[in-house]
Amino acid sequence: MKISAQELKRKRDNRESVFLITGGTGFIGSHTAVALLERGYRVILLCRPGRKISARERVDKLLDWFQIKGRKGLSRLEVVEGFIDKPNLGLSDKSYENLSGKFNEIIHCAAVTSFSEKKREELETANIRNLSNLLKLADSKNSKCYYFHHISTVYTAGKHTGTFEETLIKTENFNNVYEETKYHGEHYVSEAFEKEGIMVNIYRSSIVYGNSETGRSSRFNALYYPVKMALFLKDTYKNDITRNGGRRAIQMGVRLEEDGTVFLPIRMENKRGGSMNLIPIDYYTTAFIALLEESMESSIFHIVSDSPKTLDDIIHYFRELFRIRGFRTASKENFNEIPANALEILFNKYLETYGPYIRDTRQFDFRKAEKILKEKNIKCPEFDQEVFSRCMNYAISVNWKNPWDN
Amino acid sequence: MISKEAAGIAAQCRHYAMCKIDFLQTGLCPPGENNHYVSYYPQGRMDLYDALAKGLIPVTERLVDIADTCTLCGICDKQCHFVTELRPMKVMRALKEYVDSHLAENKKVVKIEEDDILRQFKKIVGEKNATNDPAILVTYSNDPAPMAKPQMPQYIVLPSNRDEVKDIVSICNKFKIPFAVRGNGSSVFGIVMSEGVVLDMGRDKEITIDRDNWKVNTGAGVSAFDLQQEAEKNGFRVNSAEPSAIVCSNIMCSGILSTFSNTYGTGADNYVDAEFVSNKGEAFDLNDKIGPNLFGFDKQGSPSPGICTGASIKLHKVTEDEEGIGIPFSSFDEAAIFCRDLSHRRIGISIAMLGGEYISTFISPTSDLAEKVKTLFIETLGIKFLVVVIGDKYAVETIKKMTPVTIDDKLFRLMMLSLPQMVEGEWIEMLGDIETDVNLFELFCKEEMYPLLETVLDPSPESIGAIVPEDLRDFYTQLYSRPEMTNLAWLSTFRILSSRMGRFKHVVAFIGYAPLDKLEVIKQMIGEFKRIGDKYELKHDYGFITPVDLGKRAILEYDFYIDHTDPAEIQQMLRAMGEAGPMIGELSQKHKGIQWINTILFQGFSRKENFLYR
Ligand code: SF4
Repeated sequence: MKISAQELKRKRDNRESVFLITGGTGFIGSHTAVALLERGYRVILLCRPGRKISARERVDKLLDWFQIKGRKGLSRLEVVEGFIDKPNLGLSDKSYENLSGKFNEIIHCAAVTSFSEKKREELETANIRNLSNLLKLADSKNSKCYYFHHISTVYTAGKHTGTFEETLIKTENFNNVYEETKYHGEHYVSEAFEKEGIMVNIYRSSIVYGNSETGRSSRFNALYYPVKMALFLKDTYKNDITRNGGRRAIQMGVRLEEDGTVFLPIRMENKRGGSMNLIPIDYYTTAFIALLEESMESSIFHIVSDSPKTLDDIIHYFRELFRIRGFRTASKENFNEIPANALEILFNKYLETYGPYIRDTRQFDFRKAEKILKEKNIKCPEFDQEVFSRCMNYAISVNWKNPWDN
Repeated sequence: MISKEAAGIAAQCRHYAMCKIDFLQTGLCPPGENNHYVSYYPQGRMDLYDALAKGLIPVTERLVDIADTCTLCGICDKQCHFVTELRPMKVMRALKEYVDSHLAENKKVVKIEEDDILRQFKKIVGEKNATNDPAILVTYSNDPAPMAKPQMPQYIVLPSNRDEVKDIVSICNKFKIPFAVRGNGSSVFGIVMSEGVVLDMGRDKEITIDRDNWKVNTGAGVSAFDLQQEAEKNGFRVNSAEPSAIVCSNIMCSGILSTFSNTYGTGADNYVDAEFVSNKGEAFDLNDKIGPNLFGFDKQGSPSPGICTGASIKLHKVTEDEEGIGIPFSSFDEAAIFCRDLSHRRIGISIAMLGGEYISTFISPTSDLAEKVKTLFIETLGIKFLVVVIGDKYAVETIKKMTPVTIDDKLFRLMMLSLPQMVEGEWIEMLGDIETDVNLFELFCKEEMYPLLETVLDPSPESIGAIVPEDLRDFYTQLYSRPEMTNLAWLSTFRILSSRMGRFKHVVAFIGYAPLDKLEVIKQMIGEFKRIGDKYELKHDYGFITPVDLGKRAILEYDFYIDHTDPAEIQQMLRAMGEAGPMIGELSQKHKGIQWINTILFQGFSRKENFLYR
């Protein structure tokens, strides 16, 4: 018997509502789980074991990293070792039945975020097919599930031009298989779950980076990747200059300036007008919970920044922090005149993959989310030099690796 | 006292006979070179220690001599480590110690009395070159081939020319003693053993270049490596197989199957003439007007026509601008079609399409590295197949125009000398994180990337030295400083790396011909081998494809791997062979152009037209 809206509201108010979170050891999932625990909710994490450790041990490592004070709220956390891609989630009949009656809302964070067509099968399974396993669970006979919160991305807009509204749209053109599978995932959940009387919220975010106040993060892709690569190259050439006479550096046009600045001749192709929409994880979780708590009926929200950054902004932050010169944006014509060197080939390859997000011309309408967030005085922090530096310094301190899951 | 550790190593010898050729310029095992019997080479000494450990032989006069003549020079350790990662020196020391303590304790040294037959053999080949000493006999009594059961011969005889062979065969026939000829290494079918006489042709090392006739006269004991080396010195190349294979034995068994068969041909294409002694003891030549027709081919298989006592092999010109080039592919079809296309268009001399397993095993000096290189190639870079072509500069230039990226000589050298950095480095991992939809090799192998790769990977012979045991470090560093060790053309010609495929376990190669115009048939064959390998729980893998006769046909190799010391695995292997044979037979009924090793056996002199197009 699914519960009623009033019952859910009462449960939420009394912090009795139980959230089942998938992908709970991932970046978004773990932050969401911790934020919910901190707000007093009950949380069940459905996660798979690691290669050598159990699901519980993985979660313990993650909780250590979050430094939850006095491990407050941990009594309200339960870990279920399961596999979202298996029938019955890989659980015994008894455990499955037991789990199905335990929660009131599902927050589905588990996803594969690769952009590679070669991983299509994996993406289709993770981002579309697995959803039916969750539907089966939410719809089983002793389910008390009222809500399905689907974590998605504003990039389900695909190649849609103009403003992307907080509604479901129909499109067939995507930049990559990630966008495509997340798009189909959204359509699946809104049809299938709602058909069974389960409310569906879709939360579409832009690119989420680390904590804007502490710089902490457990995922270092998108924004972090080119910085990591640039620093690696800087160190490599510096090493060549200081230890091996710098022959290879000269060949590449890399030099060490007198003030210790390293010059890396790297042009990144920029298309006019594009920018990158970035939000920090602390804003994301606050906004997400606020939107969730205000929702009793199916809805779609965009969690985005109203101040996207250009590639030039980011290059500027980077230059200031790392004393690396030579990075600049250049036009296609400029590349036709002077062919790309190896460093540029590398960075432009990266841009080929991440280009749609870095040189993004799509507009994301967020009025629906904004209305709620404004009332609660929740605002996206500016991605400025300080925040950039904080985040990158943290990444370096943990060697660009997930500090709990390696 | 038998050392368990040494006995363990000794049992692992694969009989690849790489210790019988000087492929690393270390020099040859001195007593081996002086005495010719395999028993004096490291390979035979491994077998001897294994036999002592199993209690198969007593300490005999010859055993004492064999142990005594080992100088503990360490050559075998370098050679064997290069191929198999085994350290035979432990066995050599243990063998010496065993014999020394036997003598110190005044224990008996067995002397086997001569009989009349042995005296007759000695009369033909000289006192030193015929024996019935069990220490020698036992080293000719086994073969890691799964079909071979050990057979202890009565005599080993080392003839040095055709007349001696004739006389030996006559004696064998007179006394009704069976005989067999031993090549250098192991055989697939174990046909190199006999209860009677084993002839080891290793003394006949004649190599005479006949420039005017574009041929080289080759004695019955000449290895492919030695022949190729001599040809190279004179600006030529011969088509030859594995470096340690005895050329004449190789021709007798299967004909020469190599990646150069793409242009140099196969079967009768490779020889100008050959001389034989028939099983009755009569001499005949390939070119005789009246005599056995070895050019013909019998689909039902054929018995051995006798003993090949020499052959004149065709010489081919090598131009100075020859280079190697690799073309990476992520799909079988694309790679195979590319190979075929090259052959149709007559681009390149040698063409081979290697699998990721092969290539990573060949280029990695240790198995540990090979595993990582395999993951790097296949999973990270997306190189599932590598088409390796040797050609002149025009061919190489053309290939570069035909395909977006290649692994040219320069990049190959760079990769060879930085493999350890490539597999360990976070940088390659970082490259993988770009997640492009194209295969990573398309980025990695771009010529513009070379300067960056050089900086990041910092290739050097020292990096190879750093991954081998301490005492071999300097040796490997010097070895990899030599240009030929990282030169695709040289490595493809001399094939010194391919024996590394036996490093994991002994290899049983299924080799034969297939129709290159029908890729679906080739894929079906590979699929069947795979199915059989899985069924019998044997490690197995695709080996290589080489186009033959301008891309109409192909040589196809598929490999099974077994621990030849494990009876259970041998049984599984025999079952697998029992199933693979009929499978190939059935397919060859249905499709033209399929011929397999079991029918080719002893028909290596046939005209290819007689077995590829009927
Ligand atoms: S150590 Fe002994 S067996 Fe090894 S190569 Fe030297 S002489 Fe031969």
